Amino acid sequence: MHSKRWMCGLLLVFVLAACGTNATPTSTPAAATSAAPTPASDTNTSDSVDRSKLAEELHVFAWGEYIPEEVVAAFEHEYNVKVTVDTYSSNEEMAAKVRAGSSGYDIVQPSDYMVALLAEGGYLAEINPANIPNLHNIDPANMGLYYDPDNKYSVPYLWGTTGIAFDTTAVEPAPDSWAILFDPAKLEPYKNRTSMLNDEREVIGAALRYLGKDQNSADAADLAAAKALLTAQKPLLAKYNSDNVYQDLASGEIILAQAWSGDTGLAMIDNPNIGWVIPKEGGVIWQDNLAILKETPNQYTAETFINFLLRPEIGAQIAEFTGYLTPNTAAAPLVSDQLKQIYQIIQPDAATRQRLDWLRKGANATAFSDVWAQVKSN
Amino acid sequence: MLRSRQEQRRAWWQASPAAIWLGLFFLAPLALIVLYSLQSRANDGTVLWTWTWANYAQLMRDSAFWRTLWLSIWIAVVVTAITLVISYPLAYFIATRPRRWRIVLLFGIMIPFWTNFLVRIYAWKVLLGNAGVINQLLEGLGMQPLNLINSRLAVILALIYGELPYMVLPLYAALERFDHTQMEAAYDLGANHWRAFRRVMLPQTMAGITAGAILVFIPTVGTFAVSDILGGTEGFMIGNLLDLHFRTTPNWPYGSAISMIFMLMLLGAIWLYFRVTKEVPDGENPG
Repeated sequence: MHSKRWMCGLLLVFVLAACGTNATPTSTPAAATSAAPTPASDTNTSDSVDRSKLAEELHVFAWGEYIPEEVVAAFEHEYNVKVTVDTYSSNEEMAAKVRAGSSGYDIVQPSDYMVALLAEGGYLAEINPANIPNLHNIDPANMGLYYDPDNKYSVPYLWGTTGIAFDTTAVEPAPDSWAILFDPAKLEPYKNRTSMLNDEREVIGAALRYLGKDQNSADAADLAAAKALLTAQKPLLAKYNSDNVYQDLASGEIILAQAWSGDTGLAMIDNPNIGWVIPKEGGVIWQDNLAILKETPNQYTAETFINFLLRPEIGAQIAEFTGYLTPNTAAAPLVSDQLKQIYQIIQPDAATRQRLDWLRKGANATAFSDVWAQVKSN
Repeated sequence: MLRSRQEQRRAWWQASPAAIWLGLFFLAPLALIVLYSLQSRANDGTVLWTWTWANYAQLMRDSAFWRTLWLSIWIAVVVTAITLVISYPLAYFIATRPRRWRIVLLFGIMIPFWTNFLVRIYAWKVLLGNAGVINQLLEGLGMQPLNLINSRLAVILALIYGELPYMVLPLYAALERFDHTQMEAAYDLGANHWRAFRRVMLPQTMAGITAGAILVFIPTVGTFAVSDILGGTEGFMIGNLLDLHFRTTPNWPYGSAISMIFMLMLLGAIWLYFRVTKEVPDGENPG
């Protein structure tokens, strides 16, 4: 009897342990938006695409809520290619599938650092620019970046920055430094109404910047100082959150936040009191890209799809749908007046761009994770 | 007892679907976790095949792991205890109603749980928020609003709510089987309410308590979504630590080592629990 009951319990534990591993979808920098997309024009059929070389199907692995369904439908209609879009919520999740081999995907959307990691691993195909004439629509400032200096493997899709969002009626004077988040005396008035991103690199990077260090420094002394700063900050925070930050800001639940430019822009639509700043110590810049997997037999079709996404009116539709900044200079004039106004606030000018830097992930990842686990469990 | 070799063989044959299922979906993944836990992390985040105990050695010194583990166990014990205290009278009440009422009441317990789990957690967010339903009610009554959301309290409340049926149902099953005339017999023999409960009803419903406690404790101690959504900066549990090492860093070998140690500790705790709950009711002196 005793052993039988024990066995039953054991079985139960196993079954439940299996149930317990169901992950729920969480953080993605790509937020949904209610902005009305403009209809795709149906006129560009007289292009140089050799339709006889197109595959019947294309498989795209993309960030959630990042490619509007209408855009996919318009491509399918125009080129008679069936497009399947699957989504992911982190670069690592996507990379794990790609590295496992035979992922079945033709196109992926890696962020900056992940382009470098995947290219190094030999997973990305070299793009033939002759098949993507619309590349000339892309702002040269968004090309030739550290992770892919000659854009051999990647084409910019959307980009954004990380800074501070705040309610201008509650947070006065407007902050210009990370001090408002890291100096306990300055943060105290906004206790429990403040959030930091739920992202180890963003949060530790901001702390390092406030300390006057490189945001990518994995130096033990630098990280120890950042850890002390974050441990002191934590009791004053409401939460670490990267999901739908725009909702918290728009509703007033959070009045001061480390935030992505896209979320801030979306919050501004509902709450005109939201302000935005890239602190004087600087902030993060990131860019998501389109890349073609080496494993695909459909490179020409994939390039045709990328070229389609780079059309001005399609680029505008994508920008409208996501709220992020488009690298497409031909698309920018086509977005709604509302989005234009938001772009004026969140698009960094040349001087601000000097203060932005990329999060370079890779070899040093565990050092940041250790600090992050220490801070969060404290 | 199986009489012949042929019958024995047939029994094995009949058990094979279960064996294959367990082997494929439980043992193989478990073996993979054991394998991973003995490797190290490559610079690009993949698994580097170098046999090493380093992950386990690091784990022993990792204060974040031990703090997180302690918090998870503490929350799970509190949730299990409170759920038991609420569920026992509730299950007793249901089990002692007329038959057709029992069905209705049990349905009443289960119907909310046909709604998606995440939707129900977000409902708690709406209830407990700074400008949430409860705080609006308090303000309406002229009282100070409370800071309920983003706290351990919020996590515990939502977990109790979420796990309640898993405690009520096994308790109900045990209490329904229980012959309630035995209580009357105990009273006739001079026992008071407490004594009759402790010596007659409790031992006979212990199987229900055990099943319910395990059904509640295991998912609670490993929870990840509830603490992530409602816990704010106070809800970093073992599930969230695993999430960090598997999805963010990523460092699968280290995450696998955490899984292994966590699993072994849970097995140990369950084993201990069975020892204790087995011995308490039986070990008592009659009379």
